[in-house]
Amino acid sequence: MERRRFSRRDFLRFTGVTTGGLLLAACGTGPEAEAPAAEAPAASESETAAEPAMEENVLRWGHWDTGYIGKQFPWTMAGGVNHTPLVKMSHEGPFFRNANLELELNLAESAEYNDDFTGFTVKIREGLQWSDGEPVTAQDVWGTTLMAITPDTSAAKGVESALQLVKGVKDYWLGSTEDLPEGLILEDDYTFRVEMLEPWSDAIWNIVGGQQTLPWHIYGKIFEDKEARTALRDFETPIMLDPELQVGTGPYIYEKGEKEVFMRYVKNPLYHGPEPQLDAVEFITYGSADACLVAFERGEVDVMATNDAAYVPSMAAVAGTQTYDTPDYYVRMLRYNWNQPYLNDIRVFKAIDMALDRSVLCAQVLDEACIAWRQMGPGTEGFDHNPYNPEESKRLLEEAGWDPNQEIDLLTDYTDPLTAELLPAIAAMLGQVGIKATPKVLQGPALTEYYYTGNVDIWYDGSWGIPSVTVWPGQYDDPIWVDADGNEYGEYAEGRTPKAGNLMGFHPDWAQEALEEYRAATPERKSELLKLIQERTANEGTSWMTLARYNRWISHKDDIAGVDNPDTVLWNFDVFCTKSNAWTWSRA
Amino acid sequence: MIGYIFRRLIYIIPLLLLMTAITFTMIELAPGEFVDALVPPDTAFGIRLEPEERERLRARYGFDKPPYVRYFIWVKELVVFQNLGTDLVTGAPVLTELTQRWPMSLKLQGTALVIYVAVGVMLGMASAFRQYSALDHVLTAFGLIWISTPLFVFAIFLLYLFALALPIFPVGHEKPIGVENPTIMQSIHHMVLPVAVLSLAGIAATQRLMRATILEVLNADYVRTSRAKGLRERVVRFRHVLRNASLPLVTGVVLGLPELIGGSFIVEYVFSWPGVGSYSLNAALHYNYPVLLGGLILNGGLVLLASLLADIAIGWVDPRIRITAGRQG
Repeated sequence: MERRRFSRRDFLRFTGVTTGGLLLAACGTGPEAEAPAAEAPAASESETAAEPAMEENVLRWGHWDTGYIGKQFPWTMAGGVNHTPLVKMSHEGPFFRNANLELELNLAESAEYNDDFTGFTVKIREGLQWSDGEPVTAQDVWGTTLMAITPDTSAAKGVESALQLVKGVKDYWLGSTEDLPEGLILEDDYTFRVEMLEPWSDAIWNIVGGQQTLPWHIYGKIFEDKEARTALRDFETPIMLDPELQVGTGPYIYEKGEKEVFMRYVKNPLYHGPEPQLDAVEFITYGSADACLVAFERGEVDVMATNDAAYVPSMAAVAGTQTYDTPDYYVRMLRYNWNQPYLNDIRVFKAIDMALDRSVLCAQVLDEACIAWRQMGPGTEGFDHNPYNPEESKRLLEEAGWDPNQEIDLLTDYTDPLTAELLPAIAAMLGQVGIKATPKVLQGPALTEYYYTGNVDIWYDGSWGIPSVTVWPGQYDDPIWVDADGNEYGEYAEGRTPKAGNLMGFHPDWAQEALEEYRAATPERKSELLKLIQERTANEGTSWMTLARYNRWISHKDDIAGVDNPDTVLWNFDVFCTKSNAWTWSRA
Repeated sequence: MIGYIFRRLIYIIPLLLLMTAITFTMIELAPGEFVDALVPPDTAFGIRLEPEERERLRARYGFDKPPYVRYFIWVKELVVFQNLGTDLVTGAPVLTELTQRWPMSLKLQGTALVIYVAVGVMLGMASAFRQYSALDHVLTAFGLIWISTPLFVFAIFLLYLFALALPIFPVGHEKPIGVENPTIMQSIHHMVLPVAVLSLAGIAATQRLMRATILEVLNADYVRTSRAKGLRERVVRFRHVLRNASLPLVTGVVLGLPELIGGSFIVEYVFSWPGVGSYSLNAALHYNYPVLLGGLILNGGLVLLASLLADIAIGWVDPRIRITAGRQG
């Protein structure tokens, strides 16, 4: 047989056929791809802008941040603030927080402190069912708490400081012992008790108030396997996307999803509350805000949210929709160094606070990405002691003997464009009352050195999460606390004192005492104490001046099938939304 | 030839390792680390991470070891166990993640490559054979615009134009939401916009390259001779001009591959395409170095392999190179 040479033409033909074949194979997905067109909706039917293939009573929520779907275990225990509203749909806790951030009983029938506030007991309602029909018990609450304090399954960021107040938790978390913490006690099928190292009258709020209870009859089996249980850390791992594991008590239950593409929740037939309004809710991820906006304009999604003011006009211009602004809980502030001799005067503090027109900063400099904000968390309403008043500011500076030649730094480690515009504006406002301020950007080791050598005057800073009202008096400047042995800690605990001279210098004894008293106070006493604390800080200052709080805008269609009042889909990403949240809406 | 291919394949290994070492060093030199991404300093007020907990977290993710130790552990795992490590965020094996996503990226990149070569060659021919015509001017102008416009601008522009103003294509994703097994038409429908964006710059570059090369070849003596011999213009153009002009094209396409792969990162991100690009981009934002290094091995390996294939292809297309290589080798 004649041996034929593989010619260049053969090579090109081979390459062409192979490439074409590969592309065709890549476009199809196996035998199913060849299903009759009638079975698989044609693209023109399912995807036209005018007639998206909407199911009845399905809400589609568009977003473009894959992190929004929820990562890691904070979704069960996140410092009292749950970042992942999706999970709120399927997983509830012993309590839920209403719009006023008050705890209301939910899976729990009752919750009581012991006499000296060193522990509490939670009783779970009998007769509640998981979506797979299994009964809800106290073991579920106990198990969920256990997972939150076990490094393999807990939030990567570390166990919440609140939980460390529970007996035995810290040693367990740090791996000093494998014995389960003695402070988490399962008394019987419906009773869960917590014992703490010190009195704390807000322990229920902080320890189980944010918990979203998981079914221990399912997760307990995974937890026993030390290899497998690490997958529980991330809500997006295959193990967590397994519908068989997505057993909850909430109004909706996870049905299916595709990583970073969409998640679909359907009505839970065994939900213990009123029947949910919608048949299903879908969360669809888009790669960018622009893509999400286009999808919203096309009607492919019913709701979208953004914290980028640039998109708001486009969102608001979409016909048949409403756009609302809801405050996010990201706060920007100026931290004030009382250790600087020229700043260590309440009159100077007040003068600087009064020199800043926050409304102008938000509207004109921050392009309304923020709103002027003076409070530091729930319960601090009215914490607005130094309203904008440049004349009074000048007077106070004169009275304090402020040297007009004194220069101060406005330090920040942020390099974003908004900050780049904001700091000169702040400096200009201070300049108008006679303070020479210069913006300064430092990062990394240079910042650390600058900070720890006490050079900071005023630091423009931000904070995710507003400090709880119970701790803010002790968190004036994020100090390092030192125990009797000289060990340093990032948080206050009994026996620890602020490390002197290293940071921003505002450690009044009364604040620490007030904090200690507040932590163990009765609810009646708390409001009195709060008032006293606020009055005192008004007279003596604080270590920070809140400036602004980031906005988040939400747009929704006017007509959403199955929703009586579309305003109820104003769904925020956290419980600080003043209008509504996932919980109230899905329960409505 | 086999020996040549074998040698080239061997060279790829140290090259890839060098690339990973450079990338790893760059990640190390960047301020912050993965633990910082987990608990950014901004969150200090809300989260209260104690130093000992931070150290424990660092140890959990291996950051308590010096960078060079971590790098060599990574290399050893790769060489000995073919293990690319685990995604620091999800804990999933990087190899599995990349294997799942790679076909998606390849689908996008492969299609874009075929289209930009085919369309670029055709437009280059049209432009060169009608030099200084209105068509040539228009194509040159568009080519310059396409080359000089950033990819993401095109992406957003086409998105608004063809997904909103003329809503004929979907906004994103590689198939309709919730459809497990899309038809070929559905797949193609979803590919059009991302492929168009990814192809445009390549089309322009190919068109410019082909135009310049064809014009150069058109002035060659053998072309003049062919015409003088009375060959039909079609034969002159396709048999003599195009064949000789296609040699730089192969090199040009290979040189354009890194740009294509890099461009697909942006396109995947904008169009919610679940490929390696969007995965790597997210990893870069979170100091997720095993994913970054894994993606680099994959994409770098692809480019180097493509370069090898191009060299072989040039040999096939140009007998002179094959003969020279054969004599040397």
